[in-house]
Amino acid sequence: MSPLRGYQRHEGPPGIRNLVACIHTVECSSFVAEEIAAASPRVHTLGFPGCYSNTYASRMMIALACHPNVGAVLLVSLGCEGTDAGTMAETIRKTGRPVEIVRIQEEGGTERAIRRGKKIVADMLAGLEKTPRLEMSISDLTIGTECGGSDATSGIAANPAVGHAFDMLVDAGATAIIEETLEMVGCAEIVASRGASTQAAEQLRETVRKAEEFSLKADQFSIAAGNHHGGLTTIEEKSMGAFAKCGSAPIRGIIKVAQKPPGHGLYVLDSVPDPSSFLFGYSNPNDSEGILDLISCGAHMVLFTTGRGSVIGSVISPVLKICGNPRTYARMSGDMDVNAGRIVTGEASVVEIGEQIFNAALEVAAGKQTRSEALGHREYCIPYKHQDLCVNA
Amino acid sequence: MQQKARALRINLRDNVAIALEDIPAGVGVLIEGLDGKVVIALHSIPFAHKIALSSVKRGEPILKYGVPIAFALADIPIGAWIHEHNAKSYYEARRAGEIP
Repeated sequence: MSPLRGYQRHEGPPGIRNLVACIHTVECSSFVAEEIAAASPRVHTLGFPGCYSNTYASRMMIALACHPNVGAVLLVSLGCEGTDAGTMAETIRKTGRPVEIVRIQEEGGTERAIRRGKKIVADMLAGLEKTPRLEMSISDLTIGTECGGSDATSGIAANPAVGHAFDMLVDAGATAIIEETLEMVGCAEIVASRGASTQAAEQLRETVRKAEEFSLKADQFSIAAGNHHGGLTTIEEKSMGAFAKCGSAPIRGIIKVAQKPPGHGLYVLDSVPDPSSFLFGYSNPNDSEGILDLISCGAHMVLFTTGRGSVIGSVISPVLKICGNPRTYARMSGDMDVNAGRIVTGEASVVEIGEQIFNAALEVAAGKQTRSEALGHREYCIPYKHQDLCVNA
Repeated sequence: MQQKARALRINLRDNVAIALEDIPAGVGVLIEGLDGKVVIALHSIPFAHKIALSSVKRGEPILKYGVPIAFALADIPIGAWIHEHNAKSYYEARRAGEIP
């Protein structure tokens, strides 16, 4: 395996990619941002569609702009939206990253804004060529996991195999994050028993209880008829099938969206909206939102399991796809990085596929493109939401 | 017993295995992750459904992923199909006030 050589940042861990983030601060500036980013595959467009500013969304955009995989940032603003590009730029600049703003109204419209943006991005890309490289170890890596397009094979093959890879990564000193606390419903005590400390256990219990209350309010609770048909008897069984992705390491604590884990080891990301005076926000409106939550917490890459077949990637961090259904893999192998369907067909054990995922993750950290990266997938989704930050993270 | 089917025990503590194919009743099932142990399927067991690896008494836990995911509603013999007809969620039963 090639040694890990990361991109040095002024603060925080090194990156495994060296990108320019081109961020639209409202939907009205998204077209201009996309046109600017079309200049190079190393420029990733992302942003927030809302005109009314949202603390959660601004925090998310800043966290993504300051991600280890990002070396420079261009903010593309219309000029009259609620999100203040100037304040955002100040915060990002403090991390030592070059930041520029293009304000479309001030610039004189679409064509001038695109022309100026392209010039800025070209200079930024040239600057990134000089980013110092440094040796990285597994303990510098943060890895997230998520599932989508699940089927009966997910809980048997892909999720337990990722769980084994997570155990190997955590043993080697990495930081690991699992999300989807809504998929821990019914398992509050089981999840709490994994806490590394009494405090962590209490945090986990409260977080799963919050997810249970939210799921009842949002009517997202319970196990569907299709799940029963697929062999799942109880909500605990369904939840544990998803939870299997995080392996067996002790859980250090809870983090919220856009918060970095305070140390190494395994953490649970709570992306469920907190109760507020104005109730809005779904927990994970789609898979891309969930993936971006993990990336906003510093995940260098995301291990994504599927059974029915998903094709998505993400902006900022590579998404490595593990498919547990052998028939889906045969049909969609061009989108998949690891075939965990071999567990179902009896050709490989969970441990063997887990080791394969671990090795694949290190290759991706060393620069190898995932299938979704090579295909040019750049999905993102930042919705309106309300969340209070954890005090001790 | 002529045919052999396959099932996977996920965790060492589990008292169930997961069918890796549709298993007809009466067939010998090779349990992967359990040193090649063979269990005779008492019922037909669809792909991804659960087969009992040991007898489970009424009220005792069904263990998958090494944790209790249900409790037995009746005595379940080895080789039986385990699903809603003979197992129930602790979480649902607690919410319904059926168990403390």
